[in-house]
Amino acid sequence: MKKALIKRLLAGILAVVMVMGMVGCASSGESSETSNLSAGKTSEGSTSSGKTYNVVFIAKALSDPFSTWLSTSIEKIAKEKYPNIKVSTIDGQNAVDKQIAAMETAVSQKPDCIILQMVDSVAMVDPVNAAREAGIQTVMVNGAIDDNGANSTVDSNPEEQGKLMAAKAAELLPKNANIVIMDGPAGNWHSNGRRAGVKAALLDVRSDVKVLAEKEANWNKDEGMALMEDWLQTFPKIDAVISMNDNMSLGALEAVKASGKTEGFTAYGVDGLADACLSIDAGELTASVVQDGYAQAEAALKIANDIVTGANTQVQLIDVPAVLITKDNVSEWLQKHKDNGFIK
Amino acid sequence: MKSDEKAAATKISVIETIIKKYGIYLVLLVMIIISAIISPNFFDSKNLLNIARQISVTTIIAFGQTLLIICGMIDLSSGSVVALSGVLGVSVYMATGSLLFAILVGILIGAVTGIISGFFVTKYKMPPFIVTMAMQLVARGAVYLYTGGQPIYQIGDFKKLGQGSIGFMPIPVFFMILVAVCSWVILNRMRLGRYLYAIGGNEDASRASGIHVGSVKILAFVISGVFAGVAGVLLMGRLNAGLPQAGINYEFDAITAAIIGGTSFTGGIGTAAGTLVGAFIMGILNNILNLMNVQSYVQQILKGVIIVAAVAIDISTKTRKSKPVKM
Repeated sequence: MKKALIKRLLAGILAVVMVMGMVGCASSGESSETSNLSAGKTSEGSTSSGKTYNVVFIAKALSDPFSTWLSTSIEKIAKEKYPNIKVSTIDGQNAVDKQIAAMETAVSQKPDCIILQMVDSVAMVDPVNAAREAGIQTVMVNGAIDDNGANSTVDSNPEEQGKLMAAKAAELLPKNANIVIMDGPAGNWHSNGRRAGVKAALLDVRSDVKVLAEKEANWNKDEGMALMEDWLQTFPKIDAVISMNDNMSLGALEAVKASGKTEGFTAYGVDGLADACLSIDAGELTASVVQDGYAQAEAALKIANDIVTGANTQVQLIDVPAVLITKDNVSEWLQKHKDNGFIK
Repeated sequence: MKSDEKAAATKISVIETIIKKYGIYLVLLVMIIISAIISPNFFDSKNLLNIARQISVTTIIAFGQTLLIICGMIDLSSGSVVALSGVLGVSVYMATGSLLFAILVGILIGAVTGIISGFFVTKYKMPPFIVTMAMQLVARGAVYLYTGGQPIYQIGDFKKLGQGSIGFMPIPVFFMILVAVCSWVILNRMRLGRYLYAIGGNEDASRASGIHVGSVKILAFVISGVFAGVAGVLLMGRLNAGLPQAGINYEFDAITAAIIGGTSFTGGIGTAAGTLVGAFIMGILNNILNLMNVQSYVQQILKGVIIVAAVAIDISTKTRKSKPVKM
């Protein structure tokens, strides 16, 4: 009896292992480069100069689509343009303590340069300083830390993103429009910056527009959807949702579609990832603002290359401009996402 | 005189019995009445269906948790299993075009994770807390690995599973009722249910009386996994995408619903109806706070307070008899 049970269990486990195996094969294209640090010490990819440089990229969270875009772009660009640079990636898992530990691990492996997509702008200052004391420079990408400009930084200004999105809304919203606003997590730097842009480019210039409600949906599609469902019950007429990222806006759109109140409804977001572009293409999402992950990766690697080769050791601050995506230019961005393998 | 006193005493004890037995239902009733008074939109049939649709995914998970908690266990992997089974369900649908097949795959993945958790809990006597936390990591990692962290878009008719309706009844609500009925039947009409209560009440005594404790525990994990698998497929349909990030912390909402509904961490206590009520209390709370446009910081505080109050009322009404009442 017991043996039979164990046999059955083993069969079950085998099935899972097989599933995981399939899973591994299916996604090998994207995640094979995300190996541990020791793998980064191999000497393949040397250039004529013969010297190989190790660069560690510490991502904010590889569960986050933008972070994944950044990390795949960095690996892809390194392979294509900087064959002398070998990139290995560590996942910061969206937690300050994990990212600090990742910095410590990276420093102990003595790479030539670190590229950091920070989780927290204050908490990461000390680890970055510690790396500098160990002789390793850090390039910040997609967000600066509070270091008074001591480290090279590649970023897109969130207020600029908010302004671009809000200006489009200010142009399209009807007179006396009723809108709702969805924010990222409380105190989030990107969310606050974008929200300031919304105030400057929409609320301050269109005093007729009324904000019916505003709440955090924590970047999440499911929370944005549930929130919008409740708001649709409360407010008879909502003309638009202004959301600090696309995910929440797309969730809100699902709720609006289900309620059948799509007539004249417009939705705005920020990020410009594949799902948002597909939605714009389908005529659902009205506009998004892309922070160009590929361009940010490109700039960060250029700085890293300057540092490791000694070509330029000055602090470089690069602002990658935000771009508004609407139905007019969405095909160009769809193509970029296809090239990156995010749309199959 | 004496008979009058007696009659009065019986009357009081009848009221006491009603409160004792239906404490949490009364809490729900009071909440509904208050909600209806403060928000004119609340009783709109659309809003009621809206609440049912919003709670369906976590409620389905909550029934699995109820069975496990009654048996003295817990499943912390549900949220991750939701993501894994949901995303694989979406993939299978994209490959085959069959909704039925997608649901079956979701159920299968849930069952397999349940078998594995159950195996380690029974074979190695490991605490369910640890085993299912490990499963939470493994399942979440697997779904990220499979998708490369990217959502699956344009899932076509798959969204009907989450957004469609059978008549007036939203499909997720239909599944929630189905799972509720299954759970009720298991707990009240099947030997398995009696075993779950018995093991949760006293595991050694159950074993001594001839119950095959290991098999019952594994079966409980499988059922919980299957429910999570169904929930995953419904959630992805609702979100109209295969999101590997979906379902994080859903197990805690589910466990909270079960506990509010009177399921006890001491084991051996809990009902399917109670869990449904607990889930509705949570859902109505969310809904009414949003309808009232209460600021989110305040919402979190209010939710915490009301959860503690609901459980306190439930427990105090149940234990009144056994404790001396000081006047």
